Amino acid sequence: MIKRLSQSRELSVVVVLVVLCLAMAFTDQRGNFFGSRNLNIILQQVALLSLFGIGETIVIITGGIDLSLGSLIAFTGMLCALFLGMFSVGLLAVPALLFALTLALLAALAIGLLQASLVHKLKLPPFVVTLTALLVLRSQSLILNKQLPISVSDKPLLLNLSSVELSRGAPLLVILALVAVLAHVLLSRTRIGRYLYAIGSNETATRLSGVNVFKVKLFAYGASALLGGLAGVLFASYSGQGDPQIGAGYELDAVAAAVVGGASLTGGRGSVLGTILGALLLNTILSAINLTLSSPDIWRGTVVGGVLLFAVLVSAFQQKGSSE
Amino acid sequence: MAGITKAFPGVQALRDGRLELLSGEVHALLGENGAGKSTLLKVLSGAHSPDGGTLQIDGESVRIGSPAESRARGIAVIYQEFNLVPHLTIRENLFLGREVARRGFLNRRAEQDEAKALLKRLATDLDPETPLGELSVAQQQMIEIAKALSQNARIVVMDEPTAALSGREVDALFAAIRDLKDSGVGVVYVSHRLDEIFQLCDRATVMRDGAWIATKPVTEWNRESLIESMVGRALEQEFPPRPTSNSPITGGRGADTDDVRLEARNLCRGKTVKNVSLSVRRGEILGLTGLVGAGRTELARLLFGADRPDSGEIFVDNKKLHLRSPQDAADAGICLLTEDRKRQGLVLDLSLRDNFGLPNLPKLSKLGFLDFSQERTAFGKYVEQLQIKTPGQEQLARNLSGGNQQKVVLAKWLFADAEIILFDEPTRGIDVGAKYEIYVLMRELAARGKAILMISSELPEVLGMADRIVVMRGGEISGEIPDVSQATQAQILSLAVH
Repeated sequence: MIKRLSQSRELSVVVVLVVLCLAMAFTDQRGNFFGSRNLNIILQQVALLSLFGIGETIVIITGGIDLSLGSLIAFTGMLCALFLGMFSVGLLAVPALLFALTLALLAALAIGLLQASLVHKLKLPPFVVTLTALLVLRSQSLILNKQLPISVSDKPLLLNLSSVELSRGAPLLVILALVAVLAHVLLSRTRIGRYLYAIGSNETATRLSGVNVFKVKLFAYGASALLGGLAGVLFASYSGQGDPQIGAGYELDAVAAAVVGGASLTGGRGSVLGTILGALLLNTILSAINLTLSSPDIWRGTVVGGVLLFAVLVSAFQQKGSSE
Repeated sequence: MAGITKAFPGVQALRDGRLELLSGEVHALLGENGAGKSTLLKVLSGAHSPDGGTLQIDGESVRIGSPAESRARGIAVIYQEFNLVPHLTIRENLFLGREVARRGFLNRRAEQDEAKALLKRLATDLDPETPLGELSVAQQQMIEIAKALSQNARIVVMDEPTAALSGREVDALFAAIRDLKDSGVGVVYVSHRLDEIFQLCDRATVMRDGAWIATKPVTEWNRESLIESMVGRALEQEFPPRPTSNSPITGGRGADTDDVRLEARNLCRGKTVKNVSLSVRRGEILGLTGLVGAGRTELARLLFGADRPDSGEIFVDNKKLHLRSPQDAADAGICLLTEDRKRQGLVLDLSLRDNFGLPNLPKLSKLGFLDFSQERTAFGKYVEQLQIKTPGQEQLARNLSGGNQQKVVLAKWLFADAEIILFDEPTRGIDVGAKYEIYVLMRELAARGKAILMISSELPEVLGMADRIVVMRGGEISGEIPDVSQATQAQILSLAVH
């Protein structure tokens, strides 16, 4: 049991989660932690982080990194709100939302494909390319509406998208479930999935096996940006506005969730389930300190950093164990 | 070292490791892969601690617990993969970790003087301020040796130092080793090239299955007896016999002269490949040899679409190809078995089956979804056919011996319907017994009508396997030997050097 536990990252994260919940059950006398309001918030946070965390994981598996996600979330949220405002004038609510969504996601996809091209064709480091995008997209988000947010609070269709309440169909959870299943099947059972892991483990050998590496990278960065864009739209729904300031540092939360879930920044390792569990663990811990500490905000970084360090230490320990 | 034992989970890597090294001696350590040579050396270098046995230096029993202790005792190990930093200069590399400094400030002058003296001792005229990345592999090796000397090593261990060197560079290396020997240093020399052992070494120790077999002066060994004790049985020959003259496919030794399968015309790329034309026929093994840096590997990369030529044309079965990527070449039935299997041929952290599938997934999937059972069946067939020795298809490529790794690479390309097979150093780092198996496979492939281009630096291999030999020098073809039965090593060498 201990041996299996030490080998399966997903299982060990689940165990830590259970221990954490038990601890909360005993210490949280007033039942705040398990109250439906708090659980809803946790669920929303987890679902949103998981969505773009999965994208980040796909890029990390290839041995790259996508630092643009935080700004991309703000940018697509702004775009979606902007388009929705424009289309709502002449169109019915449903087609207006569909058009706005499609355009925002297409923009995100284009950004992802451009990043992949720069990384592969010009041989630029993914870190630099996506850092550039992080800076540019943040500034563009601010430019879009002269630094002001664009409200969508009068668009109930969009607002409902980020709900996790069963009575409203929990669309956010449905979206996450679809994305997660799709991504999991893609990574574990398809050609492109195998190529993603192969490139992350040894790009040269993969290329010399006749694999079109560029196509695979287009897919990876495209998928990451698309999921980032989707998260952006959902954040707009969640906060009731396209907010140019939202998402600062989210890309690092995504990296943290992926790494806690067992992804390796040197590539070749990572899974959808791991990342979702990583997101769950991070948000559960954050919620726990929210309820127990008097000033949780200033402790956030220390806690997330501590969890991340612990996860990396466990990985190093596991790898050492398997290579001996 | 006597009676050294070391067990890893599931494997008894060393049962009885023994090695006696005199000062001023070059001592060959021989054995097939998995015989325990590297484990024994890792005990010496402090990378592994032994389970049992004794280790004495100058008659004094010692325990070596870490690489640092090993270095402090005057032991220097030079691995195949160098421990050098490409972005630093020669001098900075030589003094990495033991900089000449006072209160944290480097004494560049003192370092320079010592570096120059060291380089001079090795008879190289390199400038110590050259960035290491600009040096050739052979020169980098010299720097490794210089580094060992600068640490006052009394025991120097070299693991296959000539694997990446060409004839002239090997001579320079041997001169350096003889220098070491004259100054009283004991050298442990690991190599799969038996010729070198007789040329260079004083004594040879053979290991097999983790145990010591014999230690004798090289004068008392010969090629056959060495191979026999390494593989534990008599090997009739090193190379499989050539096809007889009534072979149905080729109609004689060598190839079907009319049926050219691969042809290159006037290929050029920069300074590495200059106006090269050659052709490989159905059922033929064309040997391509020359010194390292003669442009052989570069030519193979052009033929495989890994690089693009500046000018020139490539034909397969008389059809002109436009190779823009390895993918195009693979589609045209060309495959390349790279010389560096570990970095370019295999994804070490993937399973054997995943590696096998890599170029074949379009064939092994429906609408993008992998067909695992088909993949298992297909790979299983090749495991049997090529006699790949592995506990299972899920084994990581990293855990296989060189010979079996090479077979996996071959399997993946055979399943991809490769018709033209470019072997770059097909048996590098592969032990004697497995070499023979690879040779047999190459012969079989030729007999089945494939066209084989074999790049090799090992002249016995070229003479033993090729039907026809082409020699390259400085990016150009310097000569062709159409009839191998008349060829000699001297003849090839004279074409290879200026």
